[in-house]
Formats: sequence, C-alpha cells, structure tokens
Amino acid sequence: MNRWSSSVSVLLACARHQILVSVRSWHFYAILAIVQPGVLLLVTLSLPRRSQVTTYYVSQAALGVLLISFWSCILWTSANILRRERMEGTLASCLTGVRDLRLVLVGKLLGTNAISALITMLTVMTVLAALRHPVRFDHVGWLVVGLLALFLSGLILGVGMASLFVLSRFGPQLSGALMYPVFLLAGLLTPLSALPSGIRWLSWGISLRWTKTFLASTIQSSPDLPALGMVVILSAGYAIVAAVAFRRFTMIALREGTIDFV
Amino acid sequence: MTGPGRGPAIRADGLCRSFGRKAKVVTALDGVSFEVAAGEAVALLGVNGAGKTTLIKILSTLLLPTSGHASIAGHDVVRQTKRVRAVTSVVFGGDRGLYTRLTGRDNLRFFGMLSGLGRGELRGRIEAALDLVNLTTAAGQPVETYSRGMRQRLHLAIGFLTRPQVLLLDEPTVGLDPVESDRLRNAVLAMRDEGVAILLTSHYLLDVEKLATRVLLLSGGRIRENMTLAQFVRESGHAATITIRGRGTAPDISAGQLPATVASGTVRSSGDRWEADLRLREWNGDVFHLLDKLLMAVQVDDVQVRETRLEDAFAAISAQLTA
Repeated sequence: MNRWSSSVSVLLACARHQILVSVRSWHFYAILAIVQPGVLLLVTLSLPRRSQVTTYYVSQAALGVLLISFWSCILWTSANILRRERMEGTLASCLTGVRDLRLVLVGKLLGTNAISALITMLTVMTVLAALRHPVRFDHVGWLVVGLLALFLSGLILGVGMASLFVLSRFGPQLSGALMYPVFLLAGLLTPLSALPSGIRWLSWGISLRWTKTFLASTIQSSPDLPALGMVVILSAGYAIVAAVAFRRFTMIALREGTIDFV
Repeated sequence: MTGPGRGPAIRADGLCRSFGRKAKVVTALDGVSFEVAAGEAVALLGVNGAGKTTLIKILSTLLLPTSGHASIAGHDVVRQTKRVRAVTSVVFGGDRGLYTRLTGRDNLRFFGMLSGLGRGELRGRIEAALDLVNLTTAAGQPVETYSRGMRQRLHLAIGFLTRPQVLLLDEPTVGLDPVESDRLRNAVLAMRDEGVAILLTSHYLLDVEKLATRVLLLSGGRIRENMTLAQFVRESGHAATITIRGRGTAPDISAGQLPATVASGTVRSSGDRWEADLRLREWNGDVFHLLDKLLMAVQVDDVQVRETRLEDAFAAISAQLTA
C-alpha cells in the first residue's frame, strides 16, 4: 500500500469511527441538524405572504438555513472534538499510535462533518418536500462545487478550532460566543450593509460570507467565481493557522504533560 | 533483538523531569538511569508520587523530559517519536482511555488501525486478542456496559494487538479477578519469553513476583535500588517469618535469647492468648532445634511458616528510604 492510499485508508477509518461515535450521541445531531434547520426553514417560509414565497426566495432560504445549521455543527463539534478525547482519556492513545494525529483529527472531523451535512441536507429537503416548495438552481454543477468548498473550508476551520480550543478551558464557551458574530459577519442574519461600517470589513476574513455569496449566485445569474476564489484563499489561510495551532497544541501538551488531563 | 546497534530495548540516561515554574517547581524525576534488555521484565516500584507514571509517559512519548535522554530500541523518545511508537505498546489501565459508547470490537478496530495494522491483519488480530483476554462474548456490547475488570481486559487486548519490541504496562491487573489476573500474567510472560522487553508498574506485588526478573525502586524521583527480584527480597533482612499462636505463658523471645539466625522476634498478647513472630535471616535445619527449645514449655495452638514476600521487602525498604 503506498503512502497516499494508506493515508486515505486512515482518513476513512477515522471518519467511520467518528460516525459511529456520532450516531451514539444522536441527541446533539437531532438538535443542531434536524430541529434547528427544520424550525428555521419553517419560520423563514411562513413569515412572508404566500405571494412573496417565490422559488427564488425558497432557494435562497434553503441555502441560508443549510449554511447556518452546517456551520453551527462545525463550530460545536470541532471546538469539542479534541477536548472530548482528552476528557475521555483517548487522546493519549491516539497520540501514541503510529498514525499522524493530524490525519486522525482530519478523519474524525471528516466523519462528523459528513454526518452533519448529510442530516442537515436531508432535513432541509424533507421540510421543502412537506411544504411542497420547489427550489431551482440554474447552475447545479457550480452549486455542488460550492457545497464542496463549504464542506472543505469548514473541515479546515474545524482542525484549527479544535487545536485552538483545546488550549483553553473555555473552548465550548468560546465556540458558543463566536457563533452569532460569525453568522452576522457572513451576512446570514442581516444584510452586510446593515452592519456598522467600522466592523463590516471583518466580514472579508470570513469564508462563510464568500461561500454564501457564491452559492447564492448559482440560483440565478452567473456563478460568482471571485467569491469562490476568496473561499479558496481564506481556506488556505485557515489551513496555515490550523497547522500552527495544531503544532502549538501538541508541543504544549507534550511539554506540560497535559495530553490526558482534564 | 532490538533496533540500531542492538543495544538495550529501553535505556534511560540521566532523565530529569520537573513540573511548575519558579518557586513552585516539583521534581518528578531526578537523574534516572537504567536499562532493560530484550526479553527482560522489569518492575518499577515506588509509593504514590514516586515518579513511575512520569517515567512511563516519557518512554511512551507522551511527555518531554526536562533533561537527559531515553531511547526505545535505540530510537530517541524525543526526536524519533514515530519510530518509538512503532515498536512500543503501552497499556494505561483504568476506566478512561476507551470510547465508552462504542463496542469493545469497535475500540479494538480503531486502536489497531492507529497502531499501524492494515484492514486484513486487523480481523485476525482482534479475534486473537479478544480470545486472549476472554472478552469474545462481550465484544459486541458498548464499553459503557463493561465492568471495571472488563475495561481493564480491553485495555490489555489493545496492548496485545501488535507485536511490539517493548511493552509498557501501567497497573496491568488492577480490577481483575484472580483467574483473569493469572491468565493475563501468563500472556505477558509469553511475550517476555518471545523477547519482548517489559517495563511494568504495579501496586499488586504479586504481578511483580510473577512477571519481573528485576526491580527498580523509584523514590523521590530517583532510582534507589536496581537489583534482581531475589536480591530485592533479601534486602528486607529476613527470608521467612514463623508465626506461632498459643495460650498461657508466652515464650521468652527477647533479643538476648535468640540465636543469630533470627533477625528479630516479637510477641503480642491478648488475655490468655499470645502470638509470636520470628523473622529468620535464613531458612535452615537449626530452625527446628530453635523451635523445639523455644516451645518446649508453652502451649502451642498453631505454627505457620511464611516465606518473605515482595510486599515485606517493599515495606521494609520503603520504610528505610522514608526514614
């Protein structure tokens, strides 16, 4: 087995393992990937008058709800994945194995993000089907590319956050506190033009904003490729931060001897 | 047979490790040096806080030493961590360290994969390891339903999945019943006989007696004793203890009355009954003459002879070190 296929095999094994863990803690996914998008979509579609609920509106609403729910899952699961391993005492065993811990972490996040994305998409589609609201995307191929970019960007961000938050006692609190500011800066709760100009520039560093812009462009008009480019650039930046954070986390843990301490 | 240079399987050279900063520095290890050869089982003994777990963590690449060097099969534990991990199995017992919501078999599959086993190898190894620790029937149940002993057996099964050159065992039989403890000791002995170097810590000195060929006594972060098991037991100052129980007048075993073969003697009385302990420096035929003379005029109910155990030696040496 060559190095690449061995790495892929490890990634898939870790993803499968994390999916098994996730399935057994289904309450979390029931809230974040079923209840949250279901309620959000119902509210978004029932508030306006029936005549205002056009196919374009429904498509936009579905994308917005998908982005919010998927990103919530990423923030919560990524922030806690290494902390949970450490609390359960399994992080030490992950580290003493011969597989690269970065690969193990990416595999685990791949598993948890895949299951979040799948359940969220199924929920959105089920609610739309139940309400008999059709959606329409003029550029389905680019939509898939955008969703893939969303997934990968979230995965990279997750590695960084998992490594950063394990260094702090307040990881869960930080992830909770960050959630709504990120949604605001991504333009998911209010239009970006409604934000004070003093903080609006911060939205340039949020890949979710550009992902939303790109995905929205696949409904009608032509795909916003510069926005997709921004997603790629920002994700590369996140990857560098994630690599540094991961290295710092492992060095501190090995130096201080905190790898398996709560 | 070990790695580069075929040196010792485990080598520690002047290992130091301290925790905390400035005025609150706690020294866990202070210049620890020792070697363990392939096929040798060495017990690391010491009271709580002696530095045993710190040492095991450094050797298993989970903690960096403050200074000094350590190597496993010739690979440096700081600079060649991946190579060290490839030849080492570590068993940290206890309730933690397992995915409790997953089944025992799922845990083995995951940790086996982390140890570098391929999918094809895993299946056979998992079943063999489950069989070895007698956990096959419970392997499909979630770990959260396991008793403490079953969790410990699962930890050991994970450690037995690979064919390591070095096995680090931290309290291997904690929580196990005598039958399972014995079964696992035999499994560890078989690994030792195959040439695996074993370093174990245990508060169950029976493990040490059955498994170890050499003892390292760690106290205050330093190796105070490094000797064979027999030497270690002799360090307690006596080879056996004779306990005599009787009624009426107790025998006179004051120091002046005892021959040189008796290290010490004590008598405890309670009402009409008494109990005397004679600690013998060595066991020989003169002991029977001594007993005959000593017990001639007293009423004896019971006589028991107990060979000095490791715990006696450990207690005696620990008391000396503490003093």
